Amino acid sequence: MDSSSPDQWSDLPVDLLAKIASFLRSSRLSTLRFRSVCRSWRSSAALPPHTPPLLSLPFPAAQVEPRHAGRTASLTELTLYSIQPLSDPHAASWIAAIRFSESGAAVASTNVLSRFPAVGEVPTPLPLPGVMDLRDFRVTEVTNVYSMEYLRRRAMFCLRREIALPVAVSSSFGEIGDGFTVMTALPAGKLALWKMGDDKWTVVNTSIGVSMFRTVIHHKGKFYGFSHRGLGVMIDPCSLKVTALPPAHDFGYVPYLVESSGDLFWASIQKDGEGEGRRDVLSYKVERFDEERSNWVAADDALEDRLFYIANDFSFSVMTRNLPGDKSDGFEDGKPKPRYFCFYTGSSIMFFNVDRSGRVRLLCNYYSCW
Amino acid sequence: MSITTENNEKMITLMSSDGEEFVVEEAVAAQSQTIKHLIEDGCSTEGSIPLPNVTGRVLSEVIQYCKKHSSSDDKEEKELEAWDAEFVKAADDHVALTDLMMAANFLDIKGLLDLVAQTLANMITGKSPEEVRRMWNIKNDFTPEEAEKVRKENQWAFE
Repeated sequence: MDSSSPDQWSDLPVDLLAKIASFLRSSRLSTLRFRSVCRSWRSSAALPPHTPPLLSLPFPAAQVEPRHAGRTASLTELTLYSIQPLSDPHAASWIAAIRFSESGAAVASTNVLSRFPAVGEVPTPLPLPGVMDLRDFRVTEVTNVYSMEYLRRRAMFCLRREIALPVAVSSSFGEIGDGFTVMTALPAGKLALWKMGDDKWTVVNTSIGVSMFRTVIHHKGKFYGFSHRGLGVMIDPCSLKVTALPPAHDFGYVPYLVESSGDLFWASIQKDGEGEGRRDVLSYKVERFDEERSNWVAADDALEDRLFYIANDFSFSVMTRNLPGDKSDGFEDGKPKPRYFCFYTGSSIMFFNVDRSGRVRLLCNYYSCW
Repeated sequence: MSITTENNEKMITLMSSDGEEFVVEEAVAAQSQTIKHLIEDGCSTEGSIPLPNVTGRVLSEVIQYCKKHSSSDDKEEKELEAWDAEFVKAADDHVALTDLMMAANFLDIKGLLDLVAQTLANMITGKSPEEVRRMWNIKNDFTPEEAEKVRKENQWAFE
């Protein structure tokens, strides 16, 4: 710091501070933090508005089940944050999915994936505090994910149960426009599209046999759907043209579509037998979509320190090196550091370790207990 | 004083607040709207254009930016982006960047102003307010009432 200008920054004119703040506008969190520095910073950035967290859509299965006509489904945008306590820069960071309430107040709720450590040598699940002061944590937006739910009545007691459907969207809620399109896999396994303004969903005729679609994704302007048998299609949201993808081979359970650093992957967990304590011995399989050759290719070499979350409602992937916590550049004592990556499947988290020779082994497997 | 070079490019002399003189092509200097207007108003016909708000160190950086951006056309956008990234990296710290931003604002060079503002915004992203204050030596001057409002804005209560 130049000692001759101790108040360099707070002395910046308000219009220049506002200029800097304008580049933070896409992140509500960053703007909040900007406003928390001092009075002149606070006065140069307006309190950011909340994007409506919910979008009401026609009931997705109405075509298939006419008795549902008139009901609606809700599409929710969840933001994934990585969270690390500032008191300990070496602490593991968590990834939490935060959903904001309708009022826009700073209320957050957690869901099943609320707590798992993303970075750390020996990962241990940690609890999140009940009330969090964001100023005590390094909180970073990781990505947005989407979930679509509708309520189902139980016959006898009129109790309602939420059903979540896999869903993919063409843009984030902050950038919703006329072309906003949603694709889902209906409970019966068919793919359906909804465009902003439509009063019903359009069921897509994929004509690839009796395949049940289980996972959907939006990637580079196109929608992709994958069935439980590893059969895939690419759908153009404008023309509804359907292109068959080459099938996935040798997957274990359902192969899930995941986007990671601009590439499209499918990932699945498979059971290799039973181990100690009758727990399943698990392994994974991942392939990357080679757009030039229009084919799935082995991706083990390209996994690096990717973390894959694969589940029925949504999937995502991050590079753990981009998360706060372990900031080493992949080298330790001049040698490449062992990498690890992890899968989270909704019921358990699996950490895989890639050793120096490139061999992959299962490091640990936590069954979620929250 | 106007000098004309061999290829008929008109030269302009700029003088920094600390008396350093820079001779540059008019097309380069005109990247700055402020200087462009001064030239149009005839302020450059005699002697050099004084820039009382900009030191020689900052002005030489600004000129470096203007030279690059006046000689590149749209086709080289990618290359220019990479050059910009290196340029702000070389500016090194936030003090240098702040000076650069003040100069870009005074000289009215929109591209440079945006570039520096974006860089500073990136430096803030992911840092807590306390870290930002410490790093930039900013005093926490909130009244107790304001501090309470700030606290409420920054709270997540998990259901």
